[in-house]
Amino acid sequence: MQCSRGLEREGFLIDKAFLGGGVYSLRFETQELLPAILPGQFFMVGPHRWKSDPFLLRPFAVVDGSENGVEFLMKVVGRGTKDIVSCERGTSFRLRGPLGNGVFTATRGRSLALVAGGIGVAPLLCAWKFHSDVISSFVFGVSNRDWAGVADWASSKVSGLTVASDDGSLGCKGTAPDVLKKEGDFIDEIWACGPVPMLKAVYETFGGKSLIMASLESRMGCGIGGCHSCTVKTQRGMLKVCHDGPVFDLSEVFLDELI
Amino acid sequence: MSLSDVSKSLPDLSISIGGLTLPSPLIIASGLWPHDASFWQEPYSAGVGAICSKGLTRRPRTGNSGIRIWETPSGVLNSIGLQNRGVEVFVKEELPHLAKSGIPVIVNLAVESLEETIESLVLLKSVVKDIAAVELNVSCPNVDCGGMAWGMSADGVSSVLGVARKVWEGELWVKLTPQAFDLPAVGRAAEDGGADALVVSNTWLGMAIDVETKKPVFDRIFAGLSGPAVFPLALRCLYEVAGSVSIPVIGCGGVCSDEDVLAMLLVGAAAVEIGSMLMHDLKCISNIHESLTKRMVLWGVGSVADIIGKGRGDRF
Repeated sequence: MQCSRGLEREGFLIDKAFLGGGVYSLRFETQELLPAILPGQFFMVGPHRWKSDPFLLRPFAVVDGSENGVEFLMKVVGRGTKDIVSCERGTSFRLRGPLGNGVFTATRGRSLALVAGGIGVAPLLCAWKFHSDVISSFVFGVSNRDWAGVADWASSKVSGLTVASDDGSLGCKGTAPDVLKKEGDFIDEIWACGPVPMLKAVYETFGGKSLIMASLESRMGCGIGGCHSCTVKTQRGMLKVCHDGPVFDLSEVFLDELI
Repeated sequence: MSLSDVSKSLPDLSISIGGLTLPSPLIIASGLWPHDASFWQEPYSAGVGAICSKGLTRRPRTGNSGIRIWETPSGVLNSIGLQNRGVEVFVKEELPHLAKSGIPVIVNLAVESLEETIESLVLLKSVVKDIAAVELNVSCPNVDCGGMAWGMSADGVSSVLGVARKVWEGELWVKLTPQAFDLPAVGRAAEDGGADALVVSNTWLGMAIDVETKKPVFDRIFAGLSGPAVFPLALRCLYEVAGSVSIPVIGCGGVCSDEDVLAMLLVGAAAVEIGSMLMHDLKCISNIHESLTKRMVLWGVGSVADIIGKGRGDRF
């Protein structure tokens, strides 16, 4: 985590696209140069018009970053995200980041597959950009056709993306881990991000055979490891998603205690 | 008006609390700031008078299970449960790095049992040169007496001070709980027990229900409310306690702006702690420091000390 110049940045919303299913792609331009963003890192985000209500910035994984811009994928789940996506182009935002020390790191010579569920595709798109040369499969699981716009958007960024849906209305029928299992033989390493049930399914299917690194989600306060609001229970104790993660070795995480 | 316009006559923002002098009245409250020295420097250190450690306990604590934070209208509920590595690790592995920053370190010590409090203070005595003050958090359940927080009553606080003051000879602050039945009486008990300063106050107990699951949000049902929503409550508590004791009182609760700081100073605060606002803006203290300075210049006030207690109304 780099903080010599400070992590609080100002950015302007320059592009917003509705992708269906309550999901939006938002691009921001920053006034100052950003440090290199690593796959899995995130920002705490909120418009400057939030003075005291809403009070907390919201964490979002980076989809794509450049030296003066950053892109996020956001799903409307509450009043904070609802307000963020209602902002017009040009709106001034607080962008705290890039945050997170636990990131996706590829090891040369190991086979690697990505498995995403829903909005969890965001950090894996960033990972794909960095490591597409060593990634053999990328499966994106969604619930149904409502996600068609997001799937098209993701497919435009990833060549050979396999889309799967629970009800078969979009792409292959089945869950993302089931489809990955059909696609691949032995995989050394899997990078995952998605809802807790999906992470559990990935672990049940591949745990013990593949190293599974997962980007976890949690309610956050500060994003810098100060408030300890975002902890998860692991074999190494209560670890902070914002500071120790957000990417963890899933074999270390007590999956039944994830919220 | 920019600061450069008035640099010739910048006001003095240093303050004194008992035997301690701080360069600024703005203190980072316990619970917010990482024990990571890279955050104890520029740009975050600008305007900061001191930093309170996270709440420490004699032994490591894993903290609470379940959801730990929940946004409320203009505020935030938290149920962290004092997750920390224990006083011993803090003394050996964390404090040396933090002290090198040059920022005065206030050690926030959660009072569990009296025995553990004594043990913790003995450990802290070995590094007293690196500690500006110890801030006793008396909001924790009193395990020696049925689980009620020590700070709920004057007797509870007297018991804590009775042992703490014998062990710790350095600056000793007591951070009161607003749940106390009679806050001014608790404050007076702390003063009588030898506290050098009081912090008024801590979070308000609240709760939240997740209407989708039809269950309380927090595993421990109740959680601490902080943020701008509590500022008027904190100001009232501060007013009451500051009018009841003669030792310095430090305001704490919902401070978000230079106006909030000035309000607390005007009702009698010797300094102000800022907590939750840092979640909103990591650099809020430097912004508040700058606007506070400008405001004092406009008022023609040369020193923070000239403001303290000057807004208490008819009582002064």
